[in-house]
Amino acid sequence: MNLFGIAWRNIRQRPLTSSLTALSLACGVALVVATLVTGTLVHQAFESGAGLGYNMIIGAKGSPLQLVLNTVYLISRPIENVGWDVYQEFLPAARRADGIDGKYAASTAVAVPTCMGDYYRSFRVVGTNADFFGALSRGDGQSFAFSSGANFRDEDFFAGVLGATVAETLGLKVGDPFAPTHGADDGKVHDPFTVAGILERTYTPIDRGVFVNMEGFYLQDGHAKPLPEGVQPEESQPASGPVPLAAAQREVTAILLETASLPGLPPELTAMGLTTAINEGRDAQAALPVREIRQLLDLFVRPLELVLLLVTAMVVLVSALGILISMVGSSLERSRDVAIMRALGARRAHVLATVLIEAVLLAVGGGLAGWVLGHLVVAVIAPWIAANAGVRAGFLSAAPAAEALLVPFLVLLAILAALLPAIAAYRTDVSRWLQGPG
Amino acid sequence: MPTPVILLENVRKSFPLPGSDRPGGERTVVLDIPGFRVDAGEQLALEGQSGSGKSTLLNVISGITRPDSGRVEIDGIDLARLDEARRDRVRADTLGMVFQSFNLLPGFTALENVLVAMAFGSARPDRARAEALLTAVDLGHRLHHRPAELSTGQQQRVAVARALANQPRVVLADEPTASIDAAHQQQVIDLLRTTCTAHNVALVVVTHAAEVSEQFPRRLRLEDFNRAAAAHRH
Repeated sequence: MNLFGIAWRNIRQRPLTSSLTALSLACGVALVVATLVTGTLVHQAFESGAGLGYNMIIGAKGSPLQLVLNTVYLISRPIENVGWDVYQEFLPAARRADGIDGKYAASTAVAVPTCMGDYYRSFRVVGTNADFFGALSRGDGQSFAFSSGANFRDEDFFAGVLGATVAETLGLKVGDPFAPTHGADDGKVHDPFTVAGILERTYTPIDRGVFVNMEGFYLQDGHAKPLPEGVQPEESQPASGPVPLAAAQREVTAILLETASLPGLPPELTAMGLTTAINEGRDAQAALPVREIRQLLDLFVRPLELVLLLVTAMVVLVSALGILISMVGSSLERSRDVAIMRALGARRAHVLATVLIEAVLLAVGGGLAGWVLGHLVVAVIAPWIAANAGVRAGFLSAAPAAEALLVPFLVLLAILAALLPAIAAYRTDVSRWLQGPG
Repeated sequence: MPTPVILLENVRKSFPLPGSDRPGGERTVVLDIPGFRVDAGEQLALEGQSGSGKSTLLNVISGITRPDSGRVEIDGIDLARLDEARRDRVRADTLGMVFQSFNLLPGFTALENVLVAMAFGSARPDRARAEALLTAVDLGHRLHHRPAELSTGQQQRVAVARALANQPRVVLADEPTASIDAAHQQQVIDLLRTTCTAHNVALVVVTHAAEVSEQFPRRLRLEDFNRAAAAHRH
């Protein structure tokens, strides 16, 4: 039997007190772990949405953060719309009616328009074209994949693609019709679209989106921009099917842009030049999602996390006080045991170490239980996190760096808490406790 | 002449009188021993009335308490020259202790009580030896019982086995029969004597009971060699 064995036996000697002490510590640690992991998931949620195959968003003048939140995360409200002509400036000659390269076409690799303002049973409806799922990626560099059906075709005006959460929540399947509402859930009901495909889960805000062909979107009531007085709409009659909305009546809420590398210039410099050029103009603004999200995290999320972490750290400190209380409470009983051990030849250092080891064992045991409990909490709320934050969560979701620091922190805390009773044990007067008559 | 297992020369120990804790305050002398020795394998009964300095003597011999002056040798090692940690080591390796109220560790099993004593000695704890010691005192079937689950006699046997855990040169027993009934007293004394004889370990039993001390080949009253006790008596 070594000092660890003696310390472990001391713990087992007081099962109730030891269990309660470890439990209190476990609850504190569980809280810290759950906070750390949730914080990491929040970061992941934002960071995953900031890497969807585009590095710039063009939208109406206003708050760039609002533009990013609305476009990438499908939260907040759209600022305003920009004219179709703004979108045209990013297109090459081949995709323009006039056959001339747009002003920014050389700096553009991909430009995907989006239109917002409608809802389908509380989920955001995004009008876009087939490039959204063909040219962009789902955040981790992978192409979008469909669990059933396929991407809509640009010529199918009334087709749409559903995010995994939408399809799962609403029980929609490929071929099912759905009719968005204008402006809000209780707004005017538009013409129905048909589900062409259902995306595999991406664990990004995309899962919460309803994506429809923008040609069909434009044809809904209230979606066409009024023409100035006296201007007649252009007449363009396709061979069959509905008539597309005239360019003069079109607007887009945002343009998702992947900048191209200009010859001799690094991509960052191209993006910076393009941002400056657009922001100096009167028609639109350019926002860089990564920068906006980083600012948001630095300004609001990190300070909040810090406060939350401090509160939970206080909980752990209070739990550590439990170790002190437990050990001080048993010090009378311990004094006799210590005196016996000293009489048997234990050195003062032995008894000091035994008490400290006892505290460390309690802390490590309680800490490990708390770690498991904390991850269980995350696992239990994982479906809620996935549904609301659009990020994958589970028992193994972790904040590795912070969690790795927990163990040394707990051990240090336990040693500090046990120092007082350990010193008392160290100073135990053997002759007083083993005094016989005479 | 063989090296004695215990040798005291001109040992003096005093304590401050109540209320005289400051340096230079009045003190009462508890031990004043010109000479005392116990040889290897010897069995000795020390008689003394309450307040005669028995516990102080045992504490000085075991190195728990340091004398004010004099020489305390255990198996040839002068404890006065050693720091506390080394005295602790000598106590663990050389002395076996049997206490008045057994003083077993309540949370530990019989086997663990013996193993704990081994944990503080120089040799590695030897589970097989601990089991053998307990089996030798007829507790082979009670190895994993805690003190509360053992009878008084069984507890005392655990205490004897524990005292022999580190193959000591001498066992010090402080009033080993004081808290047990008359029926068990003889068993305890027999157990101590036969076990120590079997292991060739010297035995010093401190007692105030004449019926115990008269069974030993050598009997000493503290007053006979402790001048402080004699002075108090007179």
